Amino acid sequence: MNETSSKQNLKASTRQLATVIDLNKCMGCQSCTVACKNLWTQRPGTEHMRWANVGTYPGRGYPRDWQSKGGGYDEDGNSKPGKLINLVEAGDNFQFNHDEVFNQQKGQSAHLQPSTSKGNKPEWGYNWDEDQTSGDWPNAFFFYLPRKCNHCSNAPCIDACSRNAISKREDGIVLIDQERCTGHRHCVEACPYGMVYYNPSTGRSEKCIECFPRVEQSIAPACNRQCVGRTRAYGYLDDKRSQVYKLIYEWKVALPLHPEYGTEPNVYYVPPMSTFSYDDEGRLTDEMRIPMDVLEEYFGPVVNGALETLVTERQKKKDGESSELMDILISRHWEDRFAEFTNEPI
Amino acid sequence: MKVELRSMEAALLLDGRGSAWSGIEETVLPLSPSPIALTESVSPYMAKTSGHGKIKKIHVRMTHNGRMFSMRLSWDDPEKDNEISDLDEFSDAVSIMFPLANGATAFTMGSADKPVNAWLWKAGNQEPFDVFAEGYATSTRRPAKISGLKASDSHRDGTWVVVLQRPMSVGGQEMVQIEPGTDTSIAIAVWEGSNKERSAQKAVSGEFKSVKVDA
Ligand code: HEM
Ligand code: SF4
Ligand code: SF4
Repeated sequence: MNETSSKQNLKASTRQLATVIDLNKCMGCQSCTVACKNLWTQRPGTEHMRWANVGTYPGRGYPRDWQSKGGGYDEDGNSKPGKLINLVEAGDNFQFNHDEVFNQQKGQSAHLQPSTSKGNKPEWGYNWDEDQTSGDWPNAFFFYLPRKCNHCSNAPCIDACSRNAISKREDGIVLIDQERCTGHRHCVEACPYGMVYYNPSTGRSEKCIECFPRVEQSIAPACNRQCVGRTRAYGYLDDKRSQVYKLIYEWKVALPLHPEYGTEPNVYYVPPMSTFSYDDEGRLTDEMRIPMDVLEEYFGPVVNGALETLVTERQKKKDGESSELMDILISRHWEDRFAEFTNEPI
Repeated sequence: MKVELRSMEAALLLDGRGSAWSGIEETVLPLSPSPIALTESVSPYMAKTSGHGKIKKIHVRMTHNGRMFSMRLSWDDPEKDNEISDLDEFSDAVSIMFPLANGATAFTMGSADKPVNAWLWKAGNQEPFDVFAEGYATSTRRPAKISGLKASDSHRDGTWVVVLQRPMSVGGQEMVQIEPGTDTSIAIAVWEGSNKERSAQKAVSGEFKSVKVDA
């Protein structure tokens, strides 16, 4: 076995788990972020990590400016250089002067304020640009973009690891072997989604583990299960009965984020339909507020067809007709969304 | 190069700037950037990077007292990188590699049937690592205690002095044995933390060089 074929082996899997997130329903509540943080990133050295995270777009995203960090592949499949992520970009771990304000009776003179983990005034942080909008009044727009590791089918983090410490499991979950990792961070540079984080306490890199101990017990990952907006579906890509399959392959309304990165990501998004715009006279038009070029930048040109389908199916419901697609997206019973992953967390 | 026999207490040599080291022959080895393109199959991302190999030479002194092998490595480095305070920082490091089989090459870090043993000092770490490798991507860090490897370091006036010390003969598998009167070979690598050097991004002394071990 030569080394190239060993990378192919590390990337291989028999099945692939996937998440679908409906951006029309995400309300930016960060329950997914918190669900993940409570479970996995409260250990020393993980304070800055948000394996599950939600950004407001337009905005600089999380980690900051991840869309210009590089990594991934070009059209010919060649690796593209990428950047490391520093603590500020990763959202840091703000400290607050609770003691000063609450215990030292300085409530009148001292104000509650964050400082960075290095003791400075924050210049940026996690969710810094929440609800920042784009577009001109009265046609302002924004949308939330919840993210996590995409457990890519062609994962550049696996290619980049000079120690072959990253691999895909049979179910498609991509994991960093904490025993083999020595924290060289080539994976951090290679992941174009910015989803690998360095742990300075252990000297190793970490990322979303897709809640594999839950998944093994047929419990959906915490970010998906805890989503109060019921935005998320979960299951195997080849499970024809799953909502994941129906939304991605039958209805073709769930799209990978930045497919041009060439990594074949496995988190899919139902694009936001957005509010209609007003014209100069203040009359409501049937023009969507989020410009198509913004959405194309995220999802590619296929987003046009997906939105058309969504609008058509929504109209059917409005007209009192039935729509299987809308019924899936409404998701009356949470169990319907998670295929076989409906067991209760213990 | 040679390992001079001196009947000196090994503990004294752990002071890299102490007088115990004066008079022991010093060799200056030129270093050059590692041929990083060779790592294409283990990391196409790393293989395309450039600008590594910032450290250009290293001063080497070696001695033994029949039981303990001691090596003093020093190099100019105005930036001391021993504390990782951000996610994009790396520490300085140095390593010396020995072949464990005839024909093992330093440029490949050994191969499946021709392994190598390396000692790795990393600034800021309590202890050095004893590394075993059979080619790129295969290296395994083992705790220093498996071979009794020790290290000390000091950074002063823009210079690192690192001492690595290990019993000449060790019981364990996959570790180099150093015998008085029998030649050995070494290759050296230096990583400059401030230049974000790690794994193949380093300066190397070239292919294994023969070293005479005085009897
Ligand atoms: C000539 C003397 C050399 C020495 C003493 C040496 C030593 C080492 C050591 C100790 C490690 C492990 C680092 C760690 O655990 O953090 C390592 C990693 C690595 N080295 Fe070398 N190396 C040498 C030459 C080379 C050359 C010429 C290349 C290729 C151009 C190379 C490629 C790599 C790669 C890809 C890794 C990361 C994968 C791994 O950790 O197994 N090395 N080297
Ligand atoms: S999103 Fe990044 S970390 Fe996750 S599998 Fe893809 S390349 Fe690897
Ligand atoms: S929990 Fe659901 S609704 Fe809330 S931010 Fe996350 S994806 Fe959006």
